[in-house]
Amino acid sequence: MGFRRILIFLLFLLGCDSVQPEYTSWLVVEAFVTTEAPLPVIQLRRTQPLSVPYYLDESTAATGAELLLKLGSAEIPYVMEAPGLYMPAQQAKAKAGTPIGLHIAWNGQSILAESRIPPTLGLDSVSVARSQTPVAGLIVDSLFIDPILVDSLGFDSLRTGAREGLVYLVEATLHWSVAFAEVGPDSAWWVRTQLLPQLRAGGRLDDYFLRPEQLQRERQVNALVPGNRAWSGVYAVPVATQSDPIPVHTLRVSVIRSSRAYALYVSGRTNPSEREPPSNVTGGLGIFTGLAMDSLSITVQ
Amino acid sequence: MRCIVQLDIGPLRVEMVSRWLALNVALTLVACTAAAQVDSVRVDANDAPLGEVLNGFAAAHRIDVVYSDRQVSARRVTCMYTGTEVDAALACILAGQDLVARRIRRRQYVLSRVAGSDQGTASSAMRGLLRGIVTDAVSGEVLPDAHIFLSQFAVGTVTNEAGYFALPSLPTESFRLRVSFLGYGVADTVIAANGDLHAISLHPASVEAGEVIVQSERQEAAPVDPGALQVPVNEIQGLPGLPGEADLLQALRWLPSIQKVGAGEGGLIVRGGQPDQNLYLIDGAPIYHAWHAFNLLSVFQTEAFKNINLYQGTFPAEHGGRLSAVLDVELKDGSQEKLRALAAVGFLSGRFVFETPLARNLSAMVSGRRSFIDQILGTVHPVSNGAVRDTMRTGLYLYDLNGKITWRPSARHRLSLSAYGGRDVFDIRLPFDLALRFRTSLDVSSWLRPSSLFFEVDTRWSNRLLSARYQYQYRDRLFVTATGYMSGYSARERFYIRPVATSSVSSQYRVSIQDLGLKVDVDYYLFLTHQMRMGIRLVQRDFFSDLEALILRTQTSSDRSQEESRLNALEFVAYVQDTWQPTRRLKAQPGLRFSMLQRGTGMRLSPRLGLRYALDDVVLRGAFGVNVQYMHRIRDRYSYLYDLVSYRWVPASRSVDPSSSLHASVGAVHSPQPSLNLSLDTYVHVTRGLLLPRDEYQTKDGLEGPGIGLGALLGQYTSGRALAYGLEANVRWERGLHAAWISYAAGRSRSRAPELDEPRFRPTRFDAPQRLRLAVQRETLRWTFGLSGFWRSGYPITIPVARYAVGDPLDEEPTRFLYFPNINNGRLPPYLRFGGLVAYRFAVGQTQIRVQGQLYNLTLRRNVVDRFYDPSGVESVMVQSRRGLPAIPLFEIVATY
Repeated sequence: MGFRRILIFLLFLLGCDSVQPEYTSWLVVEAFVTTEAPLPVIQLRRTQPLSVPYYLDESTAATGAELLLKLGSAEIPYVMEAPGLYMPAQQAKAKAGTPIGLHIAWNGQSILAESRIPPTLGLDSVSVARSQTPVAGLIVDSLFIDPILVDSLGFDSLRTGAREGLVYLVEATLHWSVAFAEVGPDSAWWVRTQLLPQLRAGGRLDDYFLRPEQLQRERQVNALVPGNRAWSGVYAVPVATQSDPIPVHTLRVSVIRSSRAYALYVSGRTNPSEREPPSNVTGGLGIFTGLAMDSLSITVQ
Repeated sequence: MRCIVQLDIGPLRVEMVSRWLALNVALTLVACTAAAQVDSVRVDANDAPLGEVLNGFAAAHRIDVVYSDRQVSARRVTCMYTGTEVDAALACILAGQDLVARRIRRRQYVLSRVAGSDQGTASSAMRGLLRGIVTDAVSGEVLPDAHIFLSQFAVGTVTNEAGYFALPSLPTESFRLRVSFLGYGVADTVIAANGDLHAISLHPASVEAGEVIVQSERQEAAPVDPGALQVPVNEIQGLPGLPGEADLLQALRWLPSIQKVGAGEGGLIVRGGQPDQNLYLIDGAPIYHAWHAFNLLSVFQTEAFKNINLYQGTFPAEHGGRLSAVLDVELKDGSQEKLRALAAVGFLSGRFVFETPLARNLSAMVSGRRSFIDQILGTVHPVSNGAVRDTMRTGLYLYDLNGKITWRPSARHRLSLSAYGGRDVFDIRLPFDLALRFRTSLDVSSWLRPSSLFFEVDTRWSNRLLSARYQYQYRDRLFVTATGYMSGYSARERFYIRPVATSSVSSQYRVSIQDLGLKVDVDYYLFLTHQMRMGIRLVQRDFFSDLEALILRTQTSSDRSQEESRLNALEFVAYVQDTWQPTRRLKAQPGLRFSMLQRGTGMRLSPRLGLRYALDDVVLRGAFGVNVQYMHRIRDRYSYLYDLVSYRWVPASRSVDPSSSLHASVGAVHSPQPSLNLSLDTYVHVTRGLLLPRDEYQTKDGLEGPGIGLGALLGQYTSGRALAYGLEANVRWERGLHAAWISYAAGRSRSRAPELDEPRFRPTRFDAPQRLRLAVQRETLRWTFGLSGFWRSGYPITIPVARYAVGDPLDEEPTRFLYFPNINNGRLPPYLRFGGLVAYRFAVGQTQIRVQGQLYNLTLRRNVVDRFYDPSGVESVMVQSRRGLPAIPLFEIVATY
């Protein structure tokens, strides 16, 4: 009888799971403090259970929070202007190199985050080149077969949903200067460069094989001459027929210099169904970082 | 006597370990208990029959005196002795007789005649040597690991790789031996311990002959080697399951300790370990990538092997280099009697085995297997569309080729040369818009058309092995085996993708590992109760990988990668182990393994211990061992340019510690009747120095990655720990035409990365707390009917607990995300599958033919094998499930000559 009891206990011990997922509400911080710019509006939201809709309105806004922004040695309180939107009680500008911190008291929780203001960044020039005629190009939503899917041996596993179309390839090159006194040749900052054409439709695969966006350490960015950085990106513009000219469109080019925490945050945003972007907010989710940014919009035709 | 069990598990002080140990201490103590000391010895015999005096003396002092009736009949003795020495008392009893009592082990004596009484000595009477070679009666093949049991002394041994055994220190008389081997009929024979080399043949058991088959775990055959299990492959490979044809690693799934998991990164998981913690050996040489076709088939063609040993969790000291399991298989030498052949065709491949004597004392075996899907689809397809012509490719195939030639110039010498080669080829060139045609016709040409946008993939991986083994019986009690081998795994991934007419991505990535090794093993049959084995291993490993890639975006925008990585490592191992039978009931195999890698990792000592304690109808067994693994198998987690299907083995170094594990197990085997065999085992397995992904969520999602350098690769991993513990039960029943097999396993497998601040252990990817397999079979002379079922807990899955939105300065609006705070915090639904099998046998001339049909997933149940969550919509999160395989009919035809 004793042996049976031990056996039953063992089976119970080996078979049970000690972890059960359960819902808790977390605070989501969205705060980007830009170099040499007025202090930003800080957006606070809260998480919702999976089973309820998630609207971007007051139903998900985090209200009643107490915010205190530390800018160097100064402490700047924030007040809520609209549900989830918090404004600085006094104006100030963030200087390059200044350490910044955020303390939030919300719903009995204490949320903390820290960062640093990066040196300023400005685009010197942008050059754009495009193919003279459209070329055949792949228009798909996805290509690669997940190796796990092969396991199912389902015939539809190999369906790529691809179609052949015509595209113009547009290459844009961004130049910016680097102040070595502030950044240095061994900069620990990261830069994110992006080409964002305002088009009706695009192809994700084109984006995948081309390069409309990149995130890298600044010291690894191509340096044409000392003190300068250059980056080239390519995107595709679909057209219907071989004789169609390239559609006139607006291209926004952007470059951001920021922290490693921001780089992790950006690189973790690519697959929302499988992961959340890594957060540098202790006790909450989201991002709090200093960044320097420049952006231009140009017309391509 | 006290038995102290002390386990050093370093800083990993896991409560479960101590709890598990507490549960098992009682069983362990049983095996360590020694009989009480003899306080006083007294003999009082006055002209009494010798046999009666000896019996009474043995019973009174709980010792065992072995003699034959002939030795004691018509003898009478007179003896008065009072003291504390059993030896002196026996000498008193035998005074004046021409007999002497020789102690062969603790509390056991054997009576032997003193030759010539005045000139002989006791030791000369004990110089008898009983030795022989065990062979297959049909093929003449030697049988390693056959069990030899000398019932008179309750002493046993097993044959070595050459089928040789020796039992020294016996009286020079004749003895009754029982010889058994898995899948063979038992042989009872009487042979003389006169030093001659005896040939003992075993007949393969067959259903037709109705012979008694030696099952695994039969009490007298239960091995003492730590973690050892002789695999009854002939039985389990006939059970229903994918791929429906003979395959060793697929068959092993039926053992309770083994899980076969997933495609791609999967493989065999033994007692909660990892797939890369298993060592696969063919004739002593390692195979690094044991799988074909994304783990659908293994490289082990079952019919080509004669001996299959699996060591789970811990191993004899002669084996090592991995943490979870060692699968040690021996290729057949080839029939020495007559030509034998086998040919078969199954669902995926066709195969053959060919054995023949070539000359006197020379035999050969060749076997092979090849898939045939490429022969049906074709490999090259010229296609045209008006003036435009192109060539599309669908080259998908795999093959294995085994060969062995064995030469026995004399009874003392044996030389064999083994070779294995196997390859997978996945070579396709297809237009991108393949899918619509693919689903409408089975005519491959109709799927294809010339296209300026296409993708080419040419991926192939292969194993090569060459092993030479020389076995030399230097003395009657000294046997030397030397093995030299070359073994290598290489893979090449090449692809060319043109998504835009003026843009392309081309890449060629190669990876390989090459071993050059030497092993020397010495068997020394020291005494009847001690059999020593010692040896050394020396292995030089070369690791190589290189990458050439060109990403051409436009005429002026391109990126080129060209990298190469070369590493090498020399590993040295020395070991010694003793198979010791201190009492009739207890058998132990202590061992010590010393290993060192010439990359600054220091020296490692790995103690091993196997115990077997036989009660009247139950055998208790225990094993303990420390294992060290000097290689890690890892892959890049970022880039599509490399490590898509291949793995890289990297050696440990000063900066990356080798993995080490501690394994302990306790179990029992019980055969209440010949038709029923029960076994129950529990184990705990603690691992340190495991490489775990630094970012578990990272998936390949970009063309470019950190590169193929060792630093870039290792930077994606962090050192972790793992803990596995569990219980395994096996029931095998066989009566007449019917047989049933039930295997049940309950266990947990967890890991933790302290550097990532993980507060506690979390379930590993394939942690399945409970698994149950059931098979029933009815087998007549012509028909076989089988039904199998498999149930297990669902695998862990990472379930989000909340949804939120957060923006970015370059985004127009916030993106919705799911929040996954804990890895593997939930489980998929349980998995359940049934299978059915029908086979029919008949003969055409001298050829036996077996036709077999199977239905995989008999009940059409679509198990949930993965789950996805979509947070992008406004409404509640969408949950999608990926389902497992539907019902699949399988067939196989096997012809044996």
